[in-house]
Amino acid sequence: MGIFDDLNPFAALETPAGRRSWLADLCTSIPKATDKNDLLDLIDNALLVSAPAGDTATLESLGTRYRGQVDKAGELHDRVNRVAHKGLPEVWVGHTSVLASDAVAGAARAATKMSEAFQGGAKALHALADALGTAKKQDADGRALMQQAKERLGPRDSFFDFGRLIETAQEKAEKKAALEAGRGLAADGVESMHKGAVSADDAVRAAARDLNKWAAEARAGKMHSGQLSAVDRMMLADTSGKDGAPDYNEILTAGELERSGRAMDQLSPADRARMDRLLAGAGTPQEKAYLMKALAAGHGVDDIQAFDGKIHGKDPAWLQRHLAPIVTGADSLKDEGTNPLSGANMNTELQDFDGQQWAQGGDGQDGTCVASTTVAARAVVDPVYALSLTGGPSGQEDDPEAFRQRLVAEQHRMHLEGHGGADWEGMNLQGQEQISNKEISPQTGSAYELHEVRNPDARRDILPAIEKSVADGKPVPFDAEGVTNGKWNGHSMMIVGQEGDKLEIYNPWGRTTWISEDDFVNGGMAKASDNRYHDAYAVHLPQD
Amino acid sequence: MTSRTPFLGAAALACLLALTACGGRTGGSGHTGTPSASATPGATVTPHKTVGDEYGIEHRTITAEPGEKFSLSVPAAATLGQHWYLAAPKPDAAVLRYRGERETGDGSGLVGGTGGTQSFGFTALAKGRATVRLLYCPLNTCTGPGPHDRSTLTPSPTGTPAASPASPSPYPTLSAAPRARAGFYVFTITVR
Repeated sequence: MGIFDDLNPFAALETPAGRRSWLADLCTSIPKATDKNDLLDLIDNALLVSAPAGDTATLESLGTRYRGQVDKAGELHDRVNRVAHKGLPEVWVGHTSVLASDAVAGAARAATKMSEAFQGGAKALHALADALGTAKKQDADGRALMQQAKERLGPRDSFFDFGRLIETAQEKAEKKAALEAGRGLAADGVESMHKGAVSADDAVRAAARDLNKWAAEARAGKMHSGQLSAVDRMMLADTSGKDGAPDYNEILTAGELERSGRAMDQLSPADRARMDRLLAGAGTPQEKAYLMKALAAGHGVDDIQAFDGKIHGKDPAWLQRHLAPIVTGADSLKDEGTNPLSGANMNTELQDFDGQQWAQGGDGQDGTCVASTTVAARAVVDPVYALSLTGGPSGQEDDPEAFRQRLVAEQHRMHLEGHGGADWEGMNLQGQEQISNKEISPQTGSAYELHEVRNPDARRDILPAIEKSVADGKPVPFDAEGVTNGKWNGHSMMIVGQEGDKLEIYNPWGRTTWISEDDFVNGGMAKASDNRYHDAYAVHLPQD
Repeated sequence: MTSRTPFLGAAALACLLALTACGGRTGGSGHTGTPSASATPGATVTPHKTVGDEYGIEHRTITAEPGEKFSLSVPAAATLGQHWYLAAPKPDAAVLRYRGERETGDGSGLVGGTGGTQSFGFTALAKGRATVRLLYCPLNTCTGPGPHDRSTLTPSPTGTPAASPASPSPYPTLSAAPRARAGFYVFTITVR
């Protein structure tokens, strides 16, 4: 919030969360009003809030058009599937040599994803239209009640009315009855307006979240490179790591598909030819996808050639173990409740390399949560960097102890870079912003900006931007806080995934778990750590 | 799926020989501490009196007088997921009365500051000897007493993981400064 927001008492009305908060306050104050003029002021304050915006008919029409595409995508899937079952010969297609049978199977999956995206998009738009219709009616009903309240109360008492000292008992009783009736109408009115504001705000955020997600899921279309055939692009978008749920472990995120395609187009003809040869020579779709991921992370072809020399011929399990710090299991979203003593989620996944966790200090003994989160974030988006930690200089090591030493050394390097405290203890928010920009921005192509979110409204407001970043594959570091017997605790974590209204959180204790949007907004961060941390209060958000 | 007990690198224990070097803030020191019988051979454990009535992790053999109040104060950095639990069997109620637990936060103002302690308060009641078992859980790796927890079972022999059916607890008895490994710290209190 800037200085001008502090000076402008109506700044809160400029955001959906601000409007619902404004009306929530009036829901409390209007029923308590004991003075006619005060009540009229409060009613006017409520009427300052604008009605929910949006054209439900347009949304319905768009949703219907999306739904109309679902059947077409389904038919496409069936046709492709029939081809896949005919027994294709072992022929290679595309500029980067893709087995035809793999390409057809990939096309069938892409058609299914297309169908799901259209269906999901249509559902989101129809849900938004329904909720918006309800919200508009609640708002209109509320405004009508407010007008009735004003009419019942009559004009404001003026100075001359106050001067009338002699008032009959009947006049007093009539004024009291008018105040009570007006207050009752206004209380009902503001409650209805508040319900409308809440419904509209929730519906818009849910629709934005779902549509961003579906847009990111339409992965094959993200890569616009003219240097790759449609088959190549589709196969790269379709490739996942070996373990975990395929949909949660795609090697190239939506943002990486886009960046790698752009980078391909910007290569010199000679480099492009080298890159084509590397891709064509890749032993597995996973190897090919990791080469493109390295390109998306900003590496030049020389680096990528050296990287390929280290990973060429490795099986998908080796590649995932060495290059993917975070693997998300299919059952990770299952709600197994929380520990009654610590408040932490029971269902957590340890993230490790050969048994050595991606944990702060290696064994959880350094106060380097900020640096450790940053190291993990960079490793998530840059496979060349990840391999330097897991596989060592040769890239061939499979040694958890050597990995631990390299991991801790790197955490310490970033801790010093962010001017962290002595004895590997703590860092301030500015240091964290600095290392995020130095260590993750070059790989994601986005500058990181610190946003302080110290109340539920601010956290609710920032959620759509967080979810868009995560859907694009850009991890979002954040800090959580809590107070224990008057003393403050702060801890750094990072959002690495999103599914529906759930967020996947990496904690540098070497683990991941899922929390709900409601947990993030309303002080439920203990589920991702323990009950000494309730609130997310600072978010380091990638800028577009 | 529920998380497994993590493997944390063996080199984590590299600084165990110097008890005070690794656990920078191991809490207060003893009032009438005496050398711990269970201290790691070769480790430097120097008891010393203080004006306070808090005993740190390095003073696990304590002498008190009837009526004396004292507390066991241990490092509990929230950012490291460290937590301590008073484990069963509870100390002999005829010798010691448990007064409760108090935790403090870090307070440094830095994200990842590792200050913070937990204190377990006791009052010495009558002459005798009592044992207090504290279960140390780093990185939120164990859950403390509860329906699914095994911390109340008999600990394994000092410093080694449990293996036999007679010692089913997954947590060993530890004696060095708290690091990566969950385990029990045993305090012996003599009231005389």
